Amino acid sequence: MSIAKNLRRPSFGVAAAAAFLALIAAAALFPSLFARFDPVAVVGPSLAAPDPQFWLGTDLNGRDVFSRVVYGARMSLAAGVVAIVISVVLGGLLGMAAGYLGGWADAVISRCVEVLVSIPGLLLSLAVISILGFGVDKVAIAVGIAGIPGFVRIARAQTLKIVNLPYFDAALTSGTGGFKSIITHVVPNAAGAIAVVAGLDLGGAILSIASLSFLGFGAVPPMPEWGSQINEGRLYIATAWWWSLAPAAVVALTVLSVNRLSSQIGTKES
Amino acid sequence: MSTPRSVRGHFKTLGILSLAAATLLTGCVSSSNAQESSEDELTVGFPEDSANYDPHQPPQTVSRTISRQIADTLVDQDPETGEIVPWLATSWETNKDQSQFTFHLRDDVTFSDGTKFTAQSVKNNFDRIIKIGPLAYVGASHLRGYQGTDVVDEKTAIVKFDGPNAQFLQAASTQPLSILADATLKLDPEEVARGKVIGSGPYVIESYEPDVGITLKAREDYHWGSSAYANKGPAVYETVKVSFIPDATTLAGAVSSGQVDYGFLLDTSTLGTLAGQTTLVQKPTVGIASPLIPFIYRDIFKDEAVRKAINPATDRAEIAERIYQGNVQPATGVLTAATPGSADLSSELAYDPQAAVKILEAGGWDTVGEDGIRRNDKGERLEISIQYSSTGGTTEALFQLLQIQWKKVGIDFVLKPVTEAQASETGLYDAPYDLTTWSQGRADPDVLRVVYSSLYENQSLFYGNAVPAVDKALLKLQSTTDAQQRKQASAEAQQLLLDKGLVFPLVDQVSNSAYGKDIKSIELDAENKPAFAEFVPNE
Repeated sequence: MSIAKNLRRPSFGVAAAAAFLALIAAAALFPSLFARFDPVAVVGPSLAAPDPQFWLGTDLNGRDVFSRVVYGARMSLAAGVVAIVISVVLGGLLGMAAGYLGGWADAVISRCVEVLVSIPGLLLSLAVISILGFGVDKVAIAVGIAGIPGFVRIARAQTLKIVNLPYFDAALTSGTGGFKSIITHVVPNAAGAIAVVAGLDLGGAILSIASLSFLGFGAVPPMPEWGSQINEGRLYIATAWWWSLAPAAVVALTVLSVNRLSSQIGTKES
Repeated sequence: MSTPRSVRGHFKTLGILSLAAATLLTGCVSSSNAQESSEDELTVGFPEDSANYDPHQPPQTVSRTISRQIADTLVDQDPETGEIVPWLATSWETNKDQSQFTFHLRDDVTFSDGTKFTAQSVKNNFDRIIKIGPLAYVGASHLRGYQGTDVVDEKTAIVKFDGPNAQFLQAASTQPLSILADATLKLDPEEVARGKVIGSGPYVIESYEPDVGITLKAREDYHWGSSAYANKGPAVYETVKVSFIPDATTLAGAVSSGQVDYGFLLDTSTLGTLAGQTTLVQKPTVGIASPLIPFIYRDIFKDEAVRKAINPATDRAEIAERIYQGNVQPATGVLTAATPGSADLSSELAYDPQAAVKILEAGGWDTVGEDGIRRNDKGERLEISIQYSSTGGTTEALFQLLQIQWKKVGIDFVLKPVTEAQASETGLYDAPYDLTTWSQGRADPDVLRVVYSSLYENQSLFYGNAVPAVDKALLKLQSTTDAQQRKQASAEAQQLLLDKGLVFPLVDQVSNSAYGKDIKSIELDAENKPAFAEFVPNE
């Protein structure tokens, strides 16, 4: 109820965040509606400053930076979502297994998670990437794997909470199978909390993906991706600031918007 | 909700840190070593460390530059005229077919350990280069056909070859043939590589800290400077502090801000950031023009039509204008225009996409698919791939432009970025990709023989896949003695390489270095390496 109330009267910040995210999502789904040029074609002079024709200037090869940022949205957002889905699904399954089975299974899963948590997430992603190789899809998988431990813990905690409630015992004693009980009782009840954290982590995932792309593991050229665009323009930051700054600003705004929205929902939820 | 909150915090902070770290970490590297320079101390920024400081061993520019300061060579090459002038040898003569070189040596030269330089030193050095062979592969290629050195007396040495070796005199001015003290030659090559080098140069290595820097100290008793330069005595700067500053923008910034007095090997992309008080020195490089070289053992490049189509499909003027922002010139031949013995073959390198299309069509690549890429009768796509360690930057931008240019004639240029570790898994002769970049500097057309022949493992691109006509033309370059005929041989060899589509020269690179307001003047040698002994500070 409180969520609905909040959504009815959003603050300016929340409204702005939602509007920006809607714009980015639209750009990711229908880039050709927004982009003015082919993102991989030479369309202007080298390193032209922003002007009415090239809204965010051009890069060294003379490609339109605005169009590249628009097309980059698809890869960056999709990669972020894929990463979160991997974290949620794998983390959720492991967490529920640990919480429900208890005993040895719980001990093994929980110790493994503790080991993973002790490794910085980005370092873990780098290790995975060096096995998988280059590409946005692989970066997304790597970031997704690094996000698993957090979701294992949440899912485990939620599962423990629910399986110890009387109605779950009642379901079991009345003859419902363990697996079915989890599907019907644990999953729906844990879903809310997991969804909130997934929303909160989406911003972090987008940032991690941009970071790995910035380090050169992301999109294979010439396809645009925000992190790799920031990297491409890095050497020219003093002479052609728009090349790096435009995608960097979009990454920052996207992550801030995601965090603003999800923390709003998170506060109301708890 | 305490767990999720901490997880989120963890995630987010790391993301931000990583972006910041990538830019900041690189920015801090130099601070420990570079400080306010005192009057008799020259601070210098290099973009990278070299793993090997034995002058005889691998020829990376950074090692050669340090070698230039700590060791002398028998002769030197005038950077203006390209003429060979006396250094450790005061004069020399050759026999008629240039297979024997008699050097008359100075008798007042000492190494920095106090031992005397004699004709025996010449013999010991050249013998060592042959002995460690593959480790000193460039020196060994210069000494191809070496039969020995006769020590006639303390001041006279005769270097003998089994046939004419016209390039040897110029080679004797390059660092791979530096003259070192016996104490160094006796050491294990690995120990020398770590910087234990004793030469007769104007500086000695005082300390070397890997990845941080090198400190050089001037020799006060030095008085046998090369006759190519004004200063024959000790260096003006008593100390030279070299810092390794791997990030290109940081290196340029270090010069602009006065953190270092002199920055060497600046990246073209950073030139726009140099401050007003900084003097930029741009010199066209000597050696091979910056090329892409096809691996002719790969299926796609066994096809001569594909090889021949690449040059006319490449718009060099656009590359020079966009990627290098007009700081370089389009290639005019296989050698750079500034190299002695270069040939103007720019008509062979003109941009002509229609010609490229005709060549491809005649070669059987006559169907164009919906994706704009050509196919042959077997339905195979015309795909050329390159693998490179992904660093972003100018190289990747260049490949993307080539991708666009070649697409216009129906060639798909596939980029395969890999990590440095992956890149080192395959060599030059078993590559799972089709093309490579290459660079090799030398102020003599004989550099062609080293790069484009099949003669030397790990430095000749066609090693194991000999093109007999090319080898023949390149060996002629080594054995032809007359200057005019040599120029002719160089032009013929270059023409042959282009005719067969064995090299795709792109641009003549420039060597960029810059100095701040504390320096009055600098000198570069024939390979554009700084000669620190010739640097003069402002009063």
